[in-house]
Amino acid sequence: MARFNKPNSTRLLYGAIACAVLGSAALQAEDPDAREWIRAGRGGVLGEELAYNNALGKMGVLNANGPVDMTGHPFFEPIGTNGRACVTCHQPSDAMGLSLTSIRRQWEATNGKDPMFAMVDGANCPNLAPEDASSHSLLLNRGLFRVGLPWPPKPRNGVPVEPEFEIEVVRDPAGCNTSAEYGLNSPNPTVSVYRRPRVAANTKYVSYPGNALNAKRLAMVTDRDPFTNRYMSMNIMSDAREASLRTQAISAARDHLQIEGTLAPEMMEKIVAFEEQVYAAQVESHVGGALAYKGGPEALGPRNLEKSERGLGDNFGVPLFRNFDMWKPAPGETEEQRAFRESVARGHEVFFIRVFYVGDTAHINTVGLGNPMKRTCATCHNSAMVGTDLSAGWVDVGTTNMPFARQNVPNPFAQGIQHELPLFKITCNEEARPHPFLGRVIYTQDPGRALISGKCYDVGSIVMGQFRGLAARAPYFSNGSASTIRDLVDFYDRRFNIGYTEQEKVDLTNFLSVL
Amino acid sequence: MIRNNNVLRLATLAAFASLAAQGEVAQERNISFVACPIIQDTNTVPCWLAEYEGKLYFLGIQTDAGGWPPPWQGHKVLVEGQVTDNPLVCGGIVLKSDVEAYVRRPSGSSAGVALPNPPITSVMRELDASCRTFLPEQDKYNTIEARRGPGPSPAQPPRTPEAIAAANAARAEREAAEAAEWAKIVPPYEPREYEMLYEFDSELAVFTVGQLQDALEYAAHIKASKIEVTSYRAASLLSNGVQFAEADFIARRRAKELETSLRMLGLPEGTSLDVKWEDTLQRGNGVDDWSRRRARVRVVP
Repeated sequence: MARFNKPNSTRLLYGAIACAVLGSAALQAEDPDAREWIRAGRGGVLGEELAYNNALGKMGVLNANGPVDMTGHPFFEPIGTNGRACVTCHQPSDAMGLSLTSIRRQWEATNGKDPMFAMVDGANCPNLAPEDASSHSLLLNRGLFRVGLPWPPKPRNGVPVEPEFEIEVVRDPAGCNTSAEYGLNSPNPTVSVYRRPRVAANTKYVSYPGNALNAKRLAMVTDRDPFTNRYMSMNIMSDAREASLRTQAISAARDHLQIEGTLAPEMMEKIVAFEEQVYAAQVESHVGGALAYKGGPEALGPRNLEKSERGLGDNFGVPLFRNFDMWKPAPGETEEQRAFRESVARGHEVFFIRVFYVGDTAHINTVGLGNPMKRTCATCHNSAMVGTDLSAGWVDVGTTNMPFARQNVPNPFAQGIQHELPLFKITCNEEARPHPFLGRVIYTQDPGRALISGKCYDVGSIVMGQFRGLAARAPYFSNGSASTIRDLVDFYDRRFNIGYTEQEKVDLTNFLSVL
Repeated sequence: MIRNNNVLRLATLAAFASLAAQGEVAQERNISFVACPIIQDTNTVPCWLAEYEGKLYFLGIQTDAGGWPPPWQGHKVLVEGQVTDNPLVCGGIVLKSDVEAYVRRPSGSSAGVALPNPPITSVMRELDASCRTFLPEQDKYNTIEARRGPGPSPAQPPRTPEAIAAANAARAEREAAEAAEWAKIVPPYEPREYEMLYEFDSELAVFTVGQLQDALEYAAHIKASKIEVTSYRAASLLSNGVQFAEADFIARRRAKELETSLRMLGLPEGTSLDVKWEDTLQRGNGVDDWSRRRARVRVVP
């Protein structure tokens, strides 16, 4: 049976990137993955509809309100003190996220001088040697930026947070958590975790007003956007620490761009306005051909994202990613194209209707369906068009908590490198509601939501990321522990003992690659 | 300290056990026990079972949002319900509960017989690694007709502009009716009480937390002087005569959770919050023990 994902393609791709130091002209000519890098303050106009090469095809970006003048625009200008702009980590070519490919390329192209590598969070710890690649190893090997969070947590909705657990540093390869200046015992106690940038596109699907109370998340009161006073969906950040795009813009300007003072309101509004109209999705597959065209699948391409509405997609009436019936088969296809498209259509069905047991997953098995529950991918990834959770979506699927978290990642840059991420020991106090499936002592690379809520049962819970533009922004999961889309599929297959056939895995991989 | 709590709890149980021996036992059809939940796979959604004193009981089937929440493997479960004469389901004697506060959306049927509302179940707080029994599918148990199967839900009407307009109109009508109801509430105002119910040993009022908004809305309307929160802890009288006591800190945890939630939702200006709890254990009777795992939110003019 024909299979079109290429197991070795990632390795070949990385090899090509390693050669990219020869010069950008050669790169443009020889590297099919050549992408346009938008540096902070470049100026110019970002067109209405754009397509960028990536390893699997082309990423489409739509500015629904028309071309964007980047000159003077706070999303594109270095408005802080370290030379970065929002675009530094939210590149159109990378589906408004940032791929490891782009990170490596910028390191090589600028000899590590790109503002992306600013010591504040583009290094494993600010106190390391800036010029040394090993100081930035988590960024260069796994695509991870440092996120320093205060401990104990800050108040939520103005109400103090009383932590339910003690946190100890078990292992600290980067040295930041044990640093006298930046660590847990520093004058400003800080927990440093390392996370991937998230997608700053398709935002109407992840940031929206919600209910005040979320019974699903254990009777939780949701966060309010201070600008509108509305309760929000809490799906923007990995740990849901920012309620809205506005508060996210303010904190990003402060923490990532190191702006002097606070972000001016007019800048904030301009950033948010841009984010609310930009859509990103794959538009072309090397094998499957055009993905977004009249009469094609209703879920593919940024135009369809713009046209569609947010909603619950875990139903047969309006399926999550609509349907791929027109690809079974379509006229005018080559044999190879037809086989790929049929594989994508099957992959969609595997995602939508293939049943398996989901078990021992906090905030999934604890919200009313039992442990384990017999459902499909679409049960949890239920938000139409993007595959997040329509409800506040933090979940401990095991990406950061032991024993399921991967210690080392299998991409070529990280091979042979052991234990790059910190490891924390969480000990819940005697009255805390314990983590539902790990109990009162938990070892984790990243406590996730628990660093914000202070709740023991939130340890290791991470907000689901959207599924769009995956082809352009590897690696995946908040800690970059899945190097490829196939790696994502394999993680779930192992984690839940699903027993996918090889064909199912290939089909799922192909399906995810076109979103 | 956990161990100490358990020692205290066992002492409490021993004290109450003697009372039970004097005749304070549950009514005949009521049953309460703590056991490992067992999952029986079927060709659709799984059945949830539990074994007590050599008998297998059917608790319910996997449902959907708004339905009965099945227990968790890896934890024991407290089951409080009544024995029915229904045909066995998945090999288990069918239990039920008719307690209004715990009536959930119907889950389906088995061999054409509607499944009753499941018993009240409380997942125990701590892990129990012995609770991992998973029974594979057998033809003889493939009798479940679930309202919601394991796949996506049945087709929902598309969100057409007309459907959205209709929903908006219905919401506007509902809000107008609510506003009219509020307008009828005039001085002198009366205190109002809102009752929160809890699973055993839980501080999370998952199914009743919405009442906090009602309480705050009323408080805002009458410009309440204060809101009083009082929470309690209780025991469940098990069928073996043991008074199974909630953790000694649970009343305080319930009160603190409610305090946090009320503050996060926002107290009306001028309304103070008075939070207290009663640690005294309220004994169970094996009939309505669910009703004493509670907190009261009282809005005072």
